[in-house]
Amino acid sequence: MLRYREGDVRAFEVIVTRHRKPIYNFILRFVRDAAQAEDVMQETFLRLIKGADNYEKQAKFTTWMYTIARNLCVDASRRGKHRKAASLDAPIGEDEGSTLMDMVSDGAVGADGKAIQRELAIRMKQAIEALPEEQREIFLLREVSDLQFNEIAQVVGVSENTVKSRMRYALEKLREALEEYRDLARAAQ
Amino acid sequence: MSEQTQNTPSAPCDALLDYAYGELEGAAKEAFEQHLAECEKCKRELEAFGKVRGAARAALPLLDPPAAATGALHAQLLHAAAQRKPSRATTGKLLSFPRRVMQHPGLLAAASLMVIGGALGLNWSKGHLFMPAAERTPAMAEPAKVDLPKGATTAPVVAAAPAATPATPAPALDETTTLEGSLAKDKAADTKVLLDVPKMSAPMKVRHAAPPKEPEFEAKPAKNADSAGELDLRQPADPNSFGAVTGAGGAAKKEAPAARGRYKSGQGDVMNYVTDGKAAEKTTAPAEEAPAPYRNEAPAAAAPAPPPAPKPAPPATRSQVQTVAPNAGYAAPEVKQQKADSWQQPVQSERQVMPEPQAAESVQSAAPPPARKHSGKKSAAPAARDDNGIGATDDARKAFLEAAKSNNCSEVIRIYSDQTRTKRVWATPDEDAEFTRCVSQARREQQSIDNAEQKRASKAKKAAKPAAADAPAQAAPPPAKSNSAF
Repeated sequence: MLRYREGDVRAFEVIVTRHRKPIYNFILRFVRDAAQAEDVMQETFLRLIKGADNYEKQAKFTTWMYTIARNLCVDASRRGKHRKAASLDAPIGEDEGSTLMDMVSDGAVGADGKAIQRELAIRMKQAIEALPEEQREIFLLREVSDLQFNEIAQVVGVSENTVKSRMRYALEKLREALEEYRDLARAAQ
Repeated sequence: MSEQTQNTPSAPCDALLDYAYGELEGAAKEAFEQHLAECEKCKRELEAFGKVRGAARAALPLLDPPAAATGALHAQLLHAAAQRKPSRATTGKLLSFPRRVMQHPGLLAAASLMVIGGALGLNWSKGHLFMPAAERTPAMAEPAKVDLPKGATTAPVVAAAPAATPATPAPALDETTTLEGSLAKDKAADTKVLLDVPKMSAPMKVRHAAPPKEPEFEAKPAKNADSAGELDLRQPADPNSFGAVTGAGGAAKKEAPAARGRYKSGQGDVMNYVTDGKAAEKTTAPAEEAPAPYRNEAPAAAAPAPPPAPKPAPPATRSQVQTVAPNAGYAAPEVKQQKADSWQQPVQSERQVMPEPQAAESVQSAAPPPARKHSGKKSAAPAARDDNGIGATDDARKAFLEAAKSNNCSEVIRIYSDQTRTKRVWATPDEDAEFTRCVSQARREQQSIDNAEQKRASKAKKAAKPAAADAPAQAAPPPAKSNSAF
């Protein structure tokens, strides 16, 4: 970023190439909409361009970038335009295209391990989306973006202990959801 | 209860998350591992969190951005990045504010207004708002103001002074050039010099004014930039000298060292009367531009000291110098007003504006060399002026001749001055000669009066100091009077 601030445009290309994928995934999990995630990601990089002159090497660049992205995600979530309820016709797997309705109709729960894992993923995804926003953003920053707790604290603007506490809450809720699925799977078997 | 207190287990258990996410290092990691071996709760939580994390990673795989959007997005971002200007670190922070001002139209307009307003305010405070000093004609400036000796009579003399031309040395005049010729020449000029005729002790002759004399007067500095070239000529040390000077800026300072009175910049035409008892000095530059109208000016208006013109005045002197702009449409200011900053048109009753052909004619008549003689064309000019609405010309001419015959010099001078100020070409050569004779006579009379006063003063001093009675009379010279210049 310092090189780009001095006028090296290729340095910014390196930034985009390096951070495009993790920042997109974080935004996508946060806003839960692919189109809006693209817009927010583009806006994030544009903010980086505009704020390049003000960038000081006092904090990690990743922290600064995720702070911008997180603020944009919060704004987008508050607008709520694209927030959708879980649709039975919506694809649940990005790579497969199968829907929750398909899995419910065929009644193949516990038929084989792959199906169980798929359902487990769906449940897990729903559980993550059901987390409170303050826990979800920390969970995403930790698991998806792989930021450390002190960096998350800077991005979110809370103390590191608060970050760890929220993370612990999120993990416990996800564990409960996972236990329910296991109970359901055992009952089905 | 806060989140922190709710989830605050025992101190070693606080590091569970750090350990689970690999953020513990060194001794802290070893210490927690020892604690983990002993704490079943931490073991269960660590195992559960590991399963959740595995499930979460399976549920949230890292996805690539859509390929269709990536290319365009990438290109747009790179385009935006390329259009960004270099940072302040490259251009320097010193110019950041001016650059910001220049880039913002509103700030630029505000800055421009500030600069223009500041300049106007500065000019306003200096009194130069309307016109630069260099563009102002001399006649727009403050009219000449001359300190006059007691009992001075007024003898206005017209001199030429092209206002817009820079100061040029006046052409040398022949020593034998008479005042008569100079007066006639001055009529065609653009600057009017009102010169009070002082007492004369010798026939006036025109001398070349170019050789600078040692100034005997104290020249006041100009009041401001507007009055550049305006001199205040103080009382000369020589009591016999008198005169008024018009000239080009400060060049006239040395051309009229003995003159007393206020100098008005004539810029090019210098008319100087200096009579030190034997000679009068006058230098006139050729008038190249169209002459300005002459304004009839009441002699008494110039200063409170002089007596009214019609009255026979004592042979004291009064000098007035006034320049008139060469612009024919411009009105020379009133002497009463003392300041002539106004651009308003003159009152026609106060001034007779000469038509352009007549002005050209007047210039022609002034063009001949200094020793020129008045031509018949010049003599015919007054008749033409009489047709110009000046009905009292004949009467004035008759009165002038009568006064000349009766040797009433003060009346001659008064009529001559009035008429020459009123009309551009009024006097015939004979009348000019009569006027010159009367001026010389008046000066001689004043000279004799001054000599008598000096003698009386010397005697009074001797009488007042009996101790110094034995001393020679020449030991106590009479002090120079400050107000009796002539």
